[in-house]
Amino acid sequence: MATDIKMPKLGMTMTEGTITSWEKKEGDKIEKGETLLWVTTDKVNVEVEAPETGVLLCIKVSSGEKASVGQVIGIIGAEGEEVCSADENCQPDKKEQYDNKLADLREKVRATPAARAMASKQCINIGEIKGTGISGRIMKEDVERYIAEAPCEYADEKAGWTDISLSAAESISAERMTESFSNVPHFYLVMKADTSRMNRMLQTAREKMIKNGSPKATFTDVLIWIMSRVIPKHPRVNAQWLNNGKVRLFNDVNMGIAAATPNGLFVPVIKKTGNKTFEQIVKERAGLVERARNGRLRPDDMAEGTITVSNLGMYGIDMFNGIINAPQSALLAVGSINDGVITMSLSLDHRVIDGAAGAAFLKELKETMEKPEKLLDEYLF
Amino acid sequence: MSEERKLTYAQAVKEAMVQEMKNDKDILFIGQDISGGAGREQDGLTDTWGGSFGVSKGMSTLLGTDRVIDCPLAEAGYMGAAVAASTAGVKVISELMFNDFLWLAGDQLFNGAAKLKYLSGGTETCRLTVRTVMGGGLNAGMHHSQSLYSLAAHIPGIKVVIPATPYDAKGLLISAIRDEDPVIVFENKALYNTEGDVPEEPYTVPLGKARIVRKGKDITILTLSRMLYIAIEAAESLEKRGISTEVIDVRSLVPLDEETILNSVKETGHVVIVDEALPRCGAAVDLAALVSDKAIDYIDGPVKTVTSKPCPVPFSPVLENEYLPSKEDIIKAVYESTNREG
Amino acid sequence: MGKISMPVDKLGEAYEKMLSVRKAEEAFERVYMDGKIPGFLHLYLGEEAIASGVCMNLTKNDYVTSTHRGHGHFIAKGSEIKKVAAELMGKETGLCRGKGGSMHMIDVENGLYGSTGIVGGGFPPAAGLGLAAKYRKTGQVSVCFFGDGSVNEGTFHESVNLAAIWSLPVIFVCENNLYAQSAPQEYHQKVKNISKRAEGYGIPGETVDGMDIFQVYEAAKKAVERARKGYGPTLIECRTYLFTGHYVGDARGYRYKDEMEYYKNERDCIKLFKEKVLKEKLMTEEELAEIEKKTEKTVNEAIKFAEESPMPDKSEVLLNVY
Repeated sequence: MATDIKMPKLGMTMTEGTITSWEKKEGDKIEKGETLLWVTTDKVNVEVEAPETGVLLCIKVSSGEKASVGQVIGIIGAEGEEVCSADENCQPDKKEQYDNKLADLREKVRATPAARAMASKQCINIGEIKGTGISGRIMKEDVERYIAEAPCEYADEKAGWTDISLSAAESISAERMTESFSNVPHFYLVMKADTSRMNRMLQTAREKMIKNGSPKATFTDVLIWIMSRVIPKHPRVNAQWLNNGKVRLFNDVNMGIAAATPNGLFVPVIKKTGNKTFEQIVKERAGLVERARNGRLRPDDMAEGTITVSNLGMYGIDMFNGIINAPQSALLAVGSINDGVITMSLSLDHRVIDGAAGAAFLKELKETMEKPEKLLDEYLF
Repeated sequence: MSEERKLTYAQAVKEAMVQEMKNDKDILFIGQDISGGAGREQDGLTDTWGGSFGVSKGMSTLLGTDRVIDCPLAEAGYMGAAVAASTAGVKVISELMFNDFLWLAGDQLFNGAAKLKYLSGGTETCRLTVRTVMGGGLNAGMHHSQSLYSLAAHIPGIKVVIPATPYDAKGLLISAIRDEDPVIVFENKALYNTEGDVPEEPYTVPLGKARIVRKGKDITILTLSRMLYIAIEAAESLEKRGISTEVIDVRSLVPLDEETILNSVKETGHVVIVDEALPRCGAAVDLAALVSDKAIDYIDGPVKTVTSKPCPVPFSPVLENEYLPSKEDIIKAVYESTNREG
Repeated sequence: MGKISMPVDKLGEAYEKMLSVRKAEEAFERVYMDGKIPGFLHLYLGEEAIASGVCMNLTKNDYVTSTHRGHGHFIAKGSEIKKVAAELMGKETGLCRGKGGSMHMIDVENGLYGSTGIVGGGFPPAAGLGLAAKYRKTGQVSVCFFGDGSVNEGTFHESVNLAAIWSLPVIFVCENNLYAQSAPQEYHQKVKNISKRAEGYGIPGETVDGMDIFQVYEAAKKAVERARKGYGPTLIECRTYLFTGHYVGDARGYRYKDEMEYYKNERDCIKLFKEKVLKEKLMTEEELAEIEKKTEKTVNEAIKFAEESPMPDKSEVLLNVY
């Protein structure tokens, strides 16, 4: 837990102080009560003690510089704790600094209230925007253009941070994740499964399909194919919480696939996977992922998902817990295969489904994965 | 519905009064020369005037001189009488020939009518409707051309409506007559001959509801009274220059439809307020303050007001034209508000 | 007609004043009908003897407050007709450079403190001008012209009372033309002779025939002398009649036809004056004709001057507000 070191108020009329010297440097271990720095006000030079025991993680206002009363001048925390990273501009003290900066600029920059409001919300330094209004006044559309044209990066070398803007997709994703994680009571079930037979099946299918000129099939494709056939027996994992005391169960399985792209995370959906052959699934999945990477997904491609699968196995992740793609009720997070064994974590909305029902689904999925021949009475191709 | 039925603004005002007075025998109509030739009924010389603009001609014949009552030149007196009568079992429509005479009648209205409900703890009401005439453009000079609704709107306890169309002239007047609080209706003499659709059956236009006359997305123009027509002309010119203008007739200053105004400004981000009254401490700055307060984060350019010039209403046509807001003034303000070079 | 109350050498002046007002108003009416005068126009036709008879007793420095029907007061008190005409047309050469128009003129140089669009608006200033004159001991008097309708305004009561209690040099001259706009006098007030009201304020009051300039002159002379001596105000009621409607365009549906004809044919102050001075052989046809020719010329020139004058520059709109 990091603790802010703030410029103390050392007299009734004091509004700011100058840091005479820091007695510690970044990375030093410090004890509570130990002399940390000296501050000069207009009259005296005063010693400031460390408020907590820990490590001086960063110094925000260097020796010789001024800071206003209450301003954060450094941070104490546990060793290795990351606090001075780029994303901390949303912390209140940073915002305050930011606002001060804006207040300074306000006198020099002509901008409309709407433009200022938008710039402030997006943490954009309004002074960098070129105004196209009368006398160079910055208008809302100037801010919009600035955001659109140059995903902003604002670095304060002295303070040691850089603000980067999120892409539109990242912003939406951030909002959705927050909403889901705050509102949906998640719980997780973890299970391992032997994938040797699945892999054999994948190899056979791959060879056959490549001859047909189809795209290369993946492990995820097999998993989707199997899941789609197990899910109908467990309708609560293919469901949606309705907020009115009801749960909606879907007849079809529309499978969302989490796909990382340079523009952010996208979840394209293969519709009605339960009614589709393996080859159809492979083709559709390949097309959707391709479109996602090129930023060509259409709104339709991402609509109407009923359950999501996310696979980080290719990154060497053994196992992870995923955030449900609300309003869906389940997400299957898949790790890497080690010695033929895969670890899966099923995230569930506890309002829709309880542990036992979830476990029953996962158990049947594991068993089907381990003996996929069970399904071969259905069409594989 | 008789959609195609056209009446002038003056006819619409008269129809509202006649219909309400026929339906409610407790309504009296008093004012100076609203009938004319008073006292000469037996000689057939009464009802020969009908007010300065002939609006009420025929009413005393139709409804009787005991209900349509001519007053002497005594604004403080008859207005005060109207105020008190309206608290004692009758409802009075009191005509003030020109709003410039509010200075004479004002004491009884602003110190009397406006304060009665408050003083009585809400038990007493003053069911008074004052009809008065405002506005320039007819070279009537400085004592017959002012636009003084801001004075009335300044005083709590008095409602203030300002119809710009024949439809609103009838609907707002009926609402005013039926309202339990004192209402001043500011009619515009330059609009009396304007024609428009007016349904025959009695209907109301609610007090405190603005009207979006023209939809647009780039800027909102708020208007009062006759300024509506000039604003529409300006909006049509601006449309040709690529600026999509929303025009809202505020219609009612008290109560004020903040919602319609703010929603529009939040959409467009720009606002110009066109008000024939004077620039200082008037309706325009009041609306500008509302927008600046409650839509500050949406405002994307200066909040502009277009008003008359700060001087008495001059007589000479050249000077009066210069005094009044013009289409060009509005267009200029729109450019300034949208941060464009005209 | 009563006796000739003024010196014979003043008869020419009396005729010229009345005729100037008559000719000017007739010309204004014509020009108005031609669309060259904007706004409302209230004429003084028929009431000329009152302004003329009163103003003959005044000096240039004496004060006059007027009404919405004020052209006659201005012309009789000494304003140049061409400046009045130009003002009515909104011209730069008008008395108020076009800012006032018919109902809002002032001509301080000639002691005229203004016509007004507000009925009853002239009473308080008349008292105020009297107060200033009395305090400064200038010997000036203040004349307040007003109509029968305005007597019902509160300002009448307040101002006459002030003038009375402070003994101000004010002459209240009521032009009782029997109508307040369209309201007959018998409808809008119960007292027929307005001069009776003087009693209520403790000042002298007198009713005279406003169509007889000699009666008006005599009453005004007495009142002015009294005022100049510091004895306070007088109320003079002049009974008169307006030959036209309340404003140009008023169809006069509220008046009796024979009443209108009677006043116009039998009670015209100018006709009565002419008959009287000819009958008494105090003036000749030639003398009168010469005055008629002269006034005709003055009025024609005034109209021409006004018509040819430029409109004010629009930049003047904000001039002299503060």
